[in-house]
Amino acid sequence: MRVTSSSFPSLLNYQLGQLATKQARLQVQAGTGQRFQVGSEDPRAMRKVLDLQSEMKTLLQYEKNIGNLTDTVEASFAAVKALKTVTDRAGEIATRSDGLRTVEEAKTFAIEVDQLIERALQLANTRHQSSYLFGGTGNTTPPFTATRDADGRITAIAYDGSEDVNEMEIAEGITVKVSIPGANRSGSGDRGLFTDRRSGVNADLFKSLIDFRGNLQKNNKAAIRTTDLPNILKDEENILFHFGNIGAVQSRLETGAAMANRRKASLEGLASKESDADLAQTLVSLSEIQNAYTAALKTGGTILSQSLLDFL
Amino acid sequence: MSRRALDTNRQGIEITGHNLSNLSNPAYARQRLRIQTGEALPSPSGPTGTGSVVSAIEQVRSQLLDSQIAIETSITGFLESKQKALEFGEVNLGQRIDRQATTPEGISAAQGVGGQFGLVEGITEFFNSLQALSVSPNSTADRQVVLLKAENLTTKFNNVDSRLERLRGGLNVSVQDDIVEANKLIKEISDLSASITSSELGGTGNANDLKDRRQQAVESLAKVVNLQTSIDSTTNTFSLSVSGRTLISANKIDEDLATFTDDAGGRQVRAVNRTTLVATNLTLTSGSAQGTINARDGAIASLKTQINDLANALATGVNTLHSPGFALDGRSKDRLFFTGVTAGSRTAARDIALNSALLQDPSLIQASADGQPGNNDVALSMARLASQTNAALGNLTFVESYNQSVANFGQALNNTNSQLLDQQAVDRMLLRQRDSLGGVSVDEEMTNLVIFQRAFQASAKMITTIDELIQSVIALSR
Repeated sequence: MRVTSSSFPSLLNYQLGQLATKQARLQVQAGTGQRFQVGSEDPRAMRKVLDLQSEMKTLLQYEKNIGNLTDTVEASFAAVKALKTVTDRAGEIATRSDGLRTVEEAKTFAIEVDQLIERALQLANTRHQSSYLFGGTGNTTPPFTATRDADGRITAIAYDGSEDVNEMEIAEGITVKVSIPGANRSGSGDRGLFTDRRSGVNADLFKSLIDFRGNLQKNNKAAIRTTDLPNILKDEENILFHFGNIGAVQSRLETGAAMANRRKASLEGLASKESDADLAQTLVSLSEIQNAYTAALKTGGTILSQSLLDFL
Repeated sequence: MSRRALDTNRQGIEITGHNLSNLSNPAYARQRLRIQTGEALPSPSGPTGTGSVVSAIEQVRSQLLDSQIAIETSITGFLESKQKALEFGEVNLGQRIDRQATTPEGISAAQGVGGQFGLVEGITEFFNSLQALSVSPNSTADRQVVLLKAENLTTKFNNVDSRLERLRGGLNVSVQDDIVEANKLIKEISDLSASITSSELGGTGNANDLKDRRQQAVESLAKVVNLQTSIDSTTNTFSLSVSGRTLISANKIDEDLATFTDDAGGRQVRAVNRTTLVATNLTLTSGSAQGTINARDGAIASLKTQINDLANALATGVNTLHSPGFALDGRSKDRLFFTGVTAGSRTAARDIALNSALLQDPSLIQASADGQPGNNDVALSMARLASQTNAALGNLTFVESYNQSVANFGQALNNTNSQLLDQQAVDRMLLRQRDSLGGVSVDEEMTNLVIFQRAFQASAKMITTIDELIQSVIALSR
């Protein structure tokens, strides 16, 4: 092959250009830690990484959802736990009332039950993050409203909330109900915390306490024994059911969070495999190319600087 | 004889100088002197030599190689302009991967110094905000986040569409510029061909330098449009055709190239006859003009359509669920979430907008299915759209559809890049062959210079020797 005066410069130019491009790419890889930035560099991997990143962001959102829901469940748990102390005390009073000797003694207990009713009402209208915990989906206004007599004593408590609660998504296609409706008067659907009319439950805490207070005031031991105490026990059982239910929901949320966490780690690993540059390999390649670049410059300089002109 | 020898070697030195002065001219093909033995004269002792004569100044050029280079240059021009157009498309799409900015911490760290916010992030964040709203449907803060993310998403759709539309306009201008340049080159080729024919008339010699310039112009034109050339050996005239239309015939321009706008608004190329003004649409096969047209009407147009389809499907899907829902007040309903999009719209990405009424009052987001303020059914249904496949998008989810579009476009550019690499290798090989054949070598020229110099000196010595001999003869007669 005949070599002309432009053969060396054009070849050197091409080689230096190629080596400089490779160095620039490796420098970007080392600087960003990624093999590619845009689709044209590796379309298949780009598609996969975008899918994985999107899935990862959805998981992060589910984690946030679970965090918020866990807060709500914990607030519900605290309220139900406090409510349990109300029914415990009411049951205790109902048991003890059988041995009361005077009407005055009974009235003293009636005053205490009155306070228990007030406390239960306060718990029924518990707010959490601008919503009422036991208002179902109608949770922007206090769900329970009391009617009082001239002395300010509660004579009835009405439920104005919704009997429906929301399904919350904690993973793709997996939902959980974390809210408890204050009342369920229809006998079907989600079980109410204070009132639940389904057969076998038939709980109505406020009515039980108000009736109990009335019987205490009259020292009607028979009614307390035969009606109020069994009613209070039914209400207690209903509260215990919700205790158990809250525990189960908490467990599901924890499982959901753990699964999201495991999936995140797995997705991160997959995305890393697809897109991350092996730093050691990148640096070794960069070093090799730098050597070739130096060699091309040196040999090119030597060849280009000499011609027959130097000897004539 | 010596005078002719001096003349021959002087011409040799001149050609060496001409070659050396064109050392850095890539269009130049080295020239060389064709020296013949002079006609022998009859003498009693037989034919006697009369020295040397210059029969021609030849150019070392291969027609085959030149035509191959013109063809390959045209393909390179096609791929280079296609690559450039697709690179612009990829930049305008704005979808990059920044793995350091995918977690909340990374996004925070990347604030103001980069990060990743393409359409896919916009879509994901919008549906995630609906997920958050489904957890607390009466939260004003979460409603505002939904609106913020929806506005980001619509702006992103609008921006990507307008950037792709501007790119389309820019590519149309590029096709026009190419054709203006092509017409200039066609005129130059026609003028040079006429000069070559006239210079070589009567067989007095080769118009080598004019041929260099014509070949250079032909290769420049080949970079813009695919072409075929021919030289009539009888009339020594040049013809050039593009996609079957003869533009130059017998050195004269018959037809000019022009552009016109097709039904889809894209600039196309046609040939217009100078006499009849009849225009014939051309189907170009290579060259930069076709490369631009191919990218514009191929991958870029597909990308634009896919993004429009995506915007349409997303807006329609969200609106269908949102309209029957109830706002926070439990009464207001029948509002669209996104406006500007109608069924089957081909400009959804350009027109999609967030309903301004919602922007002014976040409580108007219709997240409830039954009017209860805490009901999340509609919000949850809208959030679930993210994971549902859509028939209008080839049974892919919104994100999958977009990611596929990004990957397809990336694949188109990737293919073009590798085709161009192969093509450049072919170009380099052909140019190396031509350089090897017709390129100037300093070493060779300096060697030739020494040869011509020595021959010139020897011929001059010959003259002085003969002069001395004549002087001696004259001296004899005194």
